[in-house]
Amino acid sequence: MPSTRFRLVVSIAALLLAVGLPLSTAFAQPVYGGTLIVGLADDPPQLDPHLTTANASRTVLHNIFATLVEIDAQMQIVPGLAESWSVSDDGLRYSFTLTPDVVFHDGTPVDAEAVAFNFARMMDPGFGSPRAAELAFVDEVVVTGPLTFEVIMSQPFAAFLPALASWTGMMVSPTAVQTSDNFEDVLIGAGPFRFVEQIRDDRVVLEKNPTYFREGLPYLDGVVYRTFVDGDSRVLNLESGALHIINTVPGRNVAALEKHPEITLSSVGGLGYRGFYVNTQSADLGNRERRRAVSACIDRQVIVDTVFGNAAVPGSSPFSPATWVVDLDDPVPPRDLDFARQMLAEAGVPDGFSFTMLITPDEESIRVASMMAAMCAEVGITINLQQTEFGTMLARLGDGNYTAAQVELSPRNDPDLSAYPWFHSEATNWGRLQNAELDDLLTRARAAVYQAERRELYRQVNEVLNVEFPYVFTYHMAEMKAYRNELKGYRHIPDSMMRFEDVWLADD
Amino acid sequence: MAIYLLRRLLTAVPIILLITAVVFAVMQILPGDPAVMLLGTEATEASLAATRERLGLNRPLHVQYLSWLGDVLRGDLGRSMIDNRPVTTAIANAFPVTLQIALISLVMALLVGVPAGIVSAVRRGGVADAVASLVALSGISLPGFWAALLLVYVFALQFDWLPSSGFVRPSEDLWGSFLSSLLPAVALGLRPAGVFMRLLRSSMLDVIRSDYVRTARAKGVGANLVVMRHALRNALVPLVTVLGVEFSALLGNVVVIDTIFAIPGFGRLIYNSFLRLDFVMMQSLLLLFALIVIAVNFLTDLSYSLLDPRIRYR
Repeated sequence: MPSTRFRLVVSIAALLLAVGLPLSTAFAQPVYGGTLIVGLADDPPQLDPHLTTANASRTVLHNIFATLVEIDAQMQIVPGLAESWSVSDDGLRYSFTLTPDVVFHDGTPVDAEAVAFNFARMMDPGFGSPRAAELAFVDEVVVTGPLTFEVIMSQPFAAFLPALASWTGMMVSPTAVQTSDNFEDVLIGAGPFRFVEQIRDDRVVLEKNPTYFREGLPYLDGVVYRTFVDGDSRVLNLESGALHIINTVPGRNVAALEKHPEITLSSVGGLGYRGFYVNTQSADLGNRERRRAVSACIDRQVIVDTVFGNAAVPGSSPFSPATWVVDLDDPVPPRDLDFARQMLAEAGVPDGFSFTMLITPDEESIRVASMMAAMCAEVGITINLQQTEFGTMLARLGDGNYTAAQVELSPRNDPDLSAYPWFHSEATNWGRLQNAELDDLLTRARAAVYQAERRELYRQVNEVLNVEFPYVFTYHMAEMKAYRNELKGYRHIPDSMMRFEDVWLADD
Repeated sequence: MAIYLLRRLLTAVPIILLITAVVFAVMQILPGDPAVMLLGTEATEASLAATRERLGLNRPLHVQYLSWLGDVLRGDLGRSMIDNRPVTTAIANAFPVTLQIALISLVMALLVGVPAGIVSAVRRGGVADAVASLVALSGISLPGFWAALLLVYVFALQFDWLPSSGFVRPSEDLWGSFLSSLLPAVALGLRPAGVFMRLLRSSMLDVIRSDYVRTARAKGVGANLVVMRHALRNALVPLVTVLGVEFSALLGNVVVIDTIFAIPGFGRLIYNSFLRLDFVMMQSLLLLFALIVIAVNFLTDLSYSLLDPRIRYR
């Protein structure tokens, strides 16, 4: 007669076999060790999180500097260095509590004083941080205890927490800032990896942070970033095994990578948008009906199908379908040549007109712009394409010395940041549109605390934009990463940043 | 000869000064604001102004030029506007990389191009001539970036013989450094190899038909000796001219090759500084480039007298 204990052991063993085995195959045990080699598309120019504006830098920095809060794959705000927080009903007071016992790479504590130092650094006009714009509404940071602090706002700013999940929330070690000649040489944060060195124009090397505040992480011993500006070369090096993961997948390589047996192509909805800015004060496109005619000529679906395949979705909005703003059911306006002709007639140019569009000399821009030109030609609108490099285009956009310019607006993790800076008449507003209704809607959406209210306001923003067209929205790129199958546990977050705290390299 | 050297060096001075002025003027004509590139498009006007002030961009143009020129004459090339590293350090890191690849590339081009040129001239109209000419024309016509990708695909991906990218410094691993230079050097060398072959073939043909070669043959000098001693030496003068030109062209082509092979060389430095409107870095790089071209031309002229004793400089 088997003892009770024996039966217990047998049943536990059976249970483990039944549950554990399939689990272990589906979710293999993480393996410690190994160095991850990452292929970037641009060299990270600067690495001080409070000074750089380059996405290539930011994706590296997310692994060196922990942020106050984080975003998850659903774009919801989750705890980071701050374990909890609350917002007052009027949206003017944020109270944070920090995770206890967290230290920077130099052993100094991540406490409320350190956070206050970071805010002061970013808001110091003499320091010239690009982060100051996102902190413009911060009146005061009050330290209320060793691990608690409050941020007092001069007006509600709904994108504040999302900003703290990005480089504005990256905390640097105050001691390291004060004692180093050049902070960029040391880069002390509290993230899962420590900075080892940057060899300019070549590589950035990180090593495991053994004192990372998340128990047992990271799995990797280190991360090395290398840069491959050329897309084909980036993909070839991924295929050869010289790289484990690449951060930008060229559209023309998507189909081949989808079928590659050793590579995983991960795709989520991206947060950016593409199309072209229109100078609403220009001679050729100053008339609203002309702009509406141009937009009506464009078949967004055909452009996406021809040039991008699965790598993009058509759209007519600054808000990507990956955000909580847009319902996936929202229809994209179809091509409507009758409407275009009607608009041309109302504008007094029934036979059409011509204008010049600036484009950057990359293959995808040229193909998209050529297709747009062909589509518009059917109603007599001639688009002359003029190639110019990005720096020149930026200068001309800033001066208003252009009629139309194809420019991608980069992915941001809050709808306010995708719309307000680009279309409010007092912000960057390259379209030079003066529309009081749009300004009012954008301001109210920025101040609204609740998501439902903001969603409704952004819906109205989009309606105005699709009548006034300071920008002709065309499509949203999918956010893609390609990585070798030995890389496990990668969480793909739509903000395009690569976080490696919980990935590991399988032995095979 | 000494007088000639001195005169050449003296005439180089106004040329270099002119080049610095032109380079500086071109930088000013280029549209775009380094402060915007640095701070991003959402920067406030106040922070942009502060940055222009810090970079010295708000000073009058002639002050900017003269102050830069003065620093350059004192050997101070300034600091990068983007990442604040000294320009001399950046160049000291990047230039040896490019020089190594360019030299390996030229040596390989000569090793392939010269024998192929000789053989196709001597066996003119034969199969060897046809094959060599076809290969040479392909080398000249293939775009460098495409040849580079093809080389990576075949030798790194399919056969796994050579690294697909990156550069190993000779101080770390000499053999590894050679291997890492090989694919970029071949990609760079295809064109000069083809040019050398075509050029040597046509100048050899000229020489072979000349009177002194016919005389040498008539005296009973062996066929090989005629080719090597009489024909080749005289055919080398135009080759040396082209060698100088091709070396300068190689330095231009490294922009593409560095990009594809992810090499931290001169080309990468040029590419990044132009992309980011790093005026200080760009000016120094263009100046260095001009100096190299002047030096190479000078050496080329000097080598003529070594190859052909009839050429004398006064």
